[in-house]
Order: sequence, then C-alpha cells, then structure tokens
Amino acid sequence: MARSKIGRTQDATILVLTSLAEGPKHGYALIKDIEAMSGEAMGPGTLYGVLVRLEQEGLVEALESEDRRRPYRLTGAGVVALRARLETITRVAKIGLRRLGAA
Amino acid sequence: MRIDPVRIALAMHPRWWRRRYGDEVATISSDLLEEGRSRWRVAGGLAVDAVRQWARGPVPDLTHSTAIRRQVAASAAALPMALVIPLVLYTTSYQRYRSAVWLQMGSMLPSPSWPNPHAFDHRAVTLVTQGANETVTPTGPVIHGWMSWPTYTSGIGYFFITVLALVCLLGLLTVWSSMRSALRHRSRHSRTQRFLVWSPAVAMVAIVGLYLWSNYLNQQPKFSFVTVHGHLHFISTVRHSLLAHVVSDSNLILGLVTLAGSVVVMALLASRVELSADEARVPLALSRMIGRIVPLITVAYSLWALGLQLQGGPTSRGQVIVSYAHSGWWPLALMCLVYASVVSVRAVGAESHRLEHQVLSTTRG
Repeated sequence: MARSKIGRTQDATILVLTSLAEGPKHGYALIKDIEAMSGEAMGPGTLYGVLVRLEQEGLVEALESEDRRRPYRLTGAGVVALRARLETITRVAKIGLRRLGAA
Repeated sequence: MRIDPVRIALAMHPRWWRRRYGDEVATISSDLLEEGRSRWRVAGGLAVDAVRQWARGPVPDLTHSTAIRRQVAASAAALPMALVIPLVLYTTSYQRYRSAVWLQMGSMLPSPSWPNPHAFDHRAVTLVTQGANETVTPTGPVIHGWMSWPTYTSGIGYFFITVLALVCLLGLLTVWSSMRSALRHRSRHSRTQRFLVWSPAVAMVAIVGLYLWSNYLNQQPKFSFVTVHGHLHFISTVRHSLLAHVVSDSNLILGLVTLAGSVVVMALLASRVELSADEARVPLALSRMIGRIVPLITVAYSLWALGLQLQGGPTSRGQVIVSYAHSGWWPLALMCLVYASVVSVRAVGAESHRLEHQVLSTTRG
C-alpha cells in the first residue's frame, strides 16, 4: 500500500523544529535525530527546503560555522510557533483518538 | 568522466542558494552517501528542492534599511516607465499617422510573414489629401516583396510585446487574487482592499472603452480597387476624424494618469499594509517574475518602434506609408506596465514590513 501523504510537508517542518528544540544542530545531526525520532529518512533536499523556509520566516537562524557544517537554532519566534503548533496537534490527537475509540 | 547526479542537482539551484547553502549540503550529501544512502534518491530530493528554491527567491538581506529598500524598489519599478513613455509618445504621434493607406496583394494567410500579424506587401504610393477627399496613386513596383528586415524587426517586437504582456497580465491577476484573500478578513484594510479590487477594473474599463470608441471612429475606411500592371489590388484608406483624435488623446492622458497615480498610491499603501510572510510569498515571487519581464517588454517596444521608423522611411523608389493599428497594443501593454510597477512596489512594501517584524523578533528574542 502506498504511504499516505497527509501532512508530509507540515510533518517535516514540525520534525525539524522539534529536533532543534533540543539545542542547535547542523544538517547531518538533524537528519540523524529526525531518523531516530520518527523513523523518517529525510534527504538533504527536503531538510534544506524546510530550513530555508524557516530561516526566511525568522523561526530558525544559522550560527557561526565551525567548518562546512553550519549549526542552526530556534529563534524566539520559532519557540512560540512550535509550542502553539504542538499544542494544537496534541489537542487534535486526543480528540481524534477518543473518537476512534468511540467508533 | 563519471556523471555525478548529486553535483548536477546542486548545480541546478539558484546562485544565491549555492553561495549560502551549497557547501554544507554537499558535505551532508557526501556523509549520507558514505553511509549507503541511494545517490539517485539524494539527487532527486535535491533536484525537487532546486525547483522550489527558484520559485521562492533569495533570503532577504537584512543589512539594508527597509526605507532604502522601499525607495529603491519604487524607483526601479518606475524606471521602465520613464523609458517607455517617450517611445509611446513618439510612435503614436498623430502627424505621422494622420492618414493611412495600404495596398494588399494576394492573401495574408498563409504567408512567411509570421510572426507579424500586419505584414503585407508595400508599394510606393502617393497620397493626396484635398479637404475630405484622399487620392491614392501607386507609383512603383512592390518595394518589399514579402518581408523586409525592418518589417520583420517590428513584427518580432510586436509578437513579444503581446506574449510578454499576456504573461504579465496573468501574473498580476494571480497577485490581485492573493492580495484580496489576504486582506479579506481585516476590516482595517477594507479601503486597501477596495482599491485593489476596483481601481484596476475602473481604469481598465475606461481605457478599453475609450480605445474601442476611438477605434470605431477610426474604422470607417473607404474601400476601392485599383489596377497596377494588369493586376487588381485592394485599397483601404482610413481618415482619422477630429473626434477620434480627441478620444485617443483622452485615452493617452488617462493611461498616463493611471500610471503615475497607481505608482504613487501603491507606494503609499506599501508603507502601511502589513502582510505575513506566507501571504507575501506568492506576490513576491510573481513580482520578481514580472520585474524581470518588464525590461524585456521595453526591449520589445524598442525593436517595434525602430522597425516602424525604418519601415516608414523614404526609399529610392518612394515613400512607404505605414498602416497599422497603432492604438491597438499600447493600452494593454501600458496597463501591464502600470501594474507591474504597482505590484513591485506593493510586494516589496510587504516584504519591508516582514523584515521589520523579523528584525524586531530577533532583537526581542
């Protein structure tokens, strides 16, 4: 069966933000953390598609690069946005699971 | 030499992206490949991202002040107008096109005259006007057998003006709709929304109405046939009435006033209306696209005008009087240029607000 694509773009954004909530990480560390967290083998194309957008929106920022691995971290706005999004997801998940249980 | 799809996919990204992210993505890709990740899968993901980045545009440079950015954007948007208006005024000079006459040989279609929709054989003619009467006398053989290079030049210019103007128009319609949807639920921006909805519609209706009226007044040709060297030729003579001149002048004035007014008003609006990053993304991308098309339209105008001036000039075998629908193209093209300016200023204004917001968030953070 083909894998459902529901919310994949949103998922990638949430995954990246959640991974950065632990602290600054560079791209490779992000990919490994996301793989450990969700089982999703994210490619560099998807990761940097999300990172560029989040950087443009001011939700993450790049730190000084030690070598060719530039670390990223959440900004204040990123923390607020992630918290709001996770609260919504939690609320929806609870309602969804309750309804599935009742069905 | 071995072809590396990952390097190709990285090279497909825009320059700003390669400068900013190229090295680190190349490093990560190389780490993942060493781990055994599929080369083609990594390359495929990067190629899809390249398309996305081309559509998105660069990360804004925060080092410039937003006020300067806005002023530069307004000036850049107005610059093509400054180049085009003298051309419009020059090429729509009524002295040159007070009367028009053309001789047509054979069928216009099919012909090797593509893409010039007004191509026809030119003959040297003498046009004598006595009061309301005009006499046309063919004075020589066909000067331009099928196509001369000035005709071809003006034809190419006309073709590109039409195509580019239509692309601009489609882009602008999309921008309008996205702006409307962004402002729909914000009562404090109701005036802006009304302006966005009605000003283009009112200006378009007025200009198209005047154009049609002027065209109607001009399109009262006298048709006749003459025999030249044993061949029958169709002659159409158009005499522009005084009222047609007045209507055309009004059209020109309205177009220029709309142009100047729109740029000024939208520059003011740009400094007051705030859009979120998501809402500004589509207008920004389209604005960039239109911003790149506007200089191309200017080049097409120049080609068109140059071709016409050369085509209509005297030759050793007589004067060719050029006939064409000189008012047929410019209202549409002018409107496109007006709204290209408007959208550029408007979208950059939105971006300025976004940057200010971003700077504040970072400072507070």
